[in-house]
Amino acid sequence: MSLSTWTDRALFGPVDRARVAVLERVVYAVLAFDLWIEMVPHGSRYGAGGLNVAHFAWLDVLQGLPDASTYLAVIFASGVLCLGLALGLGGRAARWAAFALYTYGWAMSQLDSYQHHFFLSIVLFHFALDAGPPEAQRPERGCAWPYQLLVASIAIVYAYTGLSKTEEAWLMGDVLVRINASGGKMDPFLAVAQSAGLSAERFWWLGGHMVVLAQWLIVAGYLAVFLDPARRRRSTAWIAGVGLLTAVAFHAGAEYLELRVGWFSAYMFLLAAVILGPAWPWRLLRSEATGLSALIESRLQGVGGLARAVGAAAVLGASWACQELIDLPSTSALGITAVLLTVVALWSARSRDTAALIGAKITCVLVVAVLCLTQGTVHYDFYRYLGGDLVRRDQPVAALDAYGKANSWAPPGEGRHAKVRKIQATLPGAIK
Amino acid sequence: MSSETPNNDSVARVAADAPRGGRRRRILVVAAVVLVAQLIVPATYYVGESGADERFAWRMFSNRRAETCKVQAAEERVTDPVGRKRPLRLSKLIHRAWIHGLTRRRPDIVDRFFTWRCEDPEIRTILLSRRCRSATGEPLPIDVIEHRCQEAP
Repeated sequence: MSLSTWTDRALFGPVDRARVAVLERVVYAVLAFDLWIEMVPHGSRYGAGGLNVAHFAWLDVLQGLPDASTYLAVIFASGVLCLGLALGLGGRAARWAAFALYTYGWAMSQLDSYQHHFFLSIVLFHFALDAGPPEAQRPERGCAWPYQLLVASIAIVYAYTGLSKTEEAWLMGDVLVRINASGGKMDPFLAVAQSAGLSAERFWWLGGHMVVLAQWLIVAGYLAVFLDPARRRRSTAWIAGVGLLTAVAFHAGAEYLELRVGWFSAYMFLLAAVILGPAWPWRLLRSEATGLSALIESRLQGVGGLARAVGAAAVLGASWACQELIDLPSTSALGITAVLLTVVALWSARSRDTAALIGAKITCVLVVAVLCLTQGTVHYDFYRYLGGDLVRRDQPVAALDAYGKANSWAPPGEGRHAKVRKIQATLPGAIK
Repeated sequence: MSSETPNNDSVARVAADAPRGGRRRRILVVAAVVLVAQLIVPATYYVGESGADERFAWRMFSNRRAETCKVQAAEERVTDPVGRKRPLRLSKLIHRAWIHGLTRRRPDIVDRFFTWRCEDPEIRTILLSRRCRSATGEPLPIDVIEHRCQEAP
């Protein structure tokens, strides 16, 4: 087989478009929640002490010192774009904007050095490449070269991960011992292995080798799908199936060991299920989601000539509510991004009838943002992290203010009241 | 549903809506660039001098990361006798995420930290010392980095 035949088949072979649509929509949706719930609380460390190192030297030259406001503005705006895209709003520009903003979100500072954030930028880059005609205008099975390129990219990531774990400390199980030392989560398995006559040394050696084997089985799964996107060969389904089971087991193991990887496992479960698994669940999901969207659209058409006004009023109202209900820096970025997205979506809408639906979707995005940011521990974590850092850097008055806000957002039974009392005891009377 | 087309594409088994001609060639170029970049970027870790910067190398939970380290800093001011270092409480100066970067000897962070401290004209020399244990718990040689501020007399 010539190289051009091989690459044509891999990149331009027919792919179930339901896989592509579900993957993009769900990753965008999960990422919006990830941004608002997981990343926002860490915003307090940006600019602290006046030191920053961007991931790229040229970025340091361009941006100056990013602070919590800069970081949160980027995170909020990325979240609005991602959830909007998950709901089918925004075209090519919104996809590239989501990629650029999200990437800038981690690249602005090495305070965020999670490699999975870099990985998600790669995923968003491929999604941006995929911007084309609306899903409804595409065949059920068709060319999806950015999706196929993403499949190859994921294989490369797992391959390098596998390569890094072929170093002696991993193969001999030393790193696993170290990981296990903090929680002892593997002790029950070790006990079973020892009762079966396996020495501890052999158990960790086996564990180290199995992790490497798992990585390569997953690589094989993704490569099989890359090389045969139409899954014409029976072996493709088998290799992908083994890859899927291994990926689920591997990332479930990482979760069981409570490794600090944020929501990385969730993304990898999703990618494996959609790319390596069978297509029927995704066809069913896409068909149900399309039906639901059509139903909502038909109901909203009753708004008639007031559609644009109602849609715009809903978005403006929700933007105002964000400002009132969220007590974090740069909250206005949520409303501004939502309004911009509304304007672009309305401008590019095919008919006046969709205006109410666009308004409803963007209002929904803002309502979800408010719920994510106010109903969990986001505010509490943001302000207690800020308070902790200010205490360490000898700024007790500012720390008191931060802890005060943390306490007002603390979940029942939690709070930093003892720390407040401790700081107050060290301050002169007038400041208390 | 068959997605084959009755020309050369039937050999390649490409989708019916696959791009053709110049657009297909452009996509192939983009795909090649993307894949080659993704192969090269992590590979630079293995040919580079610093093993501490694992950011883009897909080395999650590497043996390097399994090392446990502590870092201490000290400064010599221009008013101090030569050779006399004052210990520095890093946690009072910078966020602990940066201290973590210094314990890992991340090159960009170490360099920026030195530059940042040297902005104070009173500082002549900065010293960072790291004490680490390997993944197996064995002590590694003490790692000392001394930086002399360029402006200092």
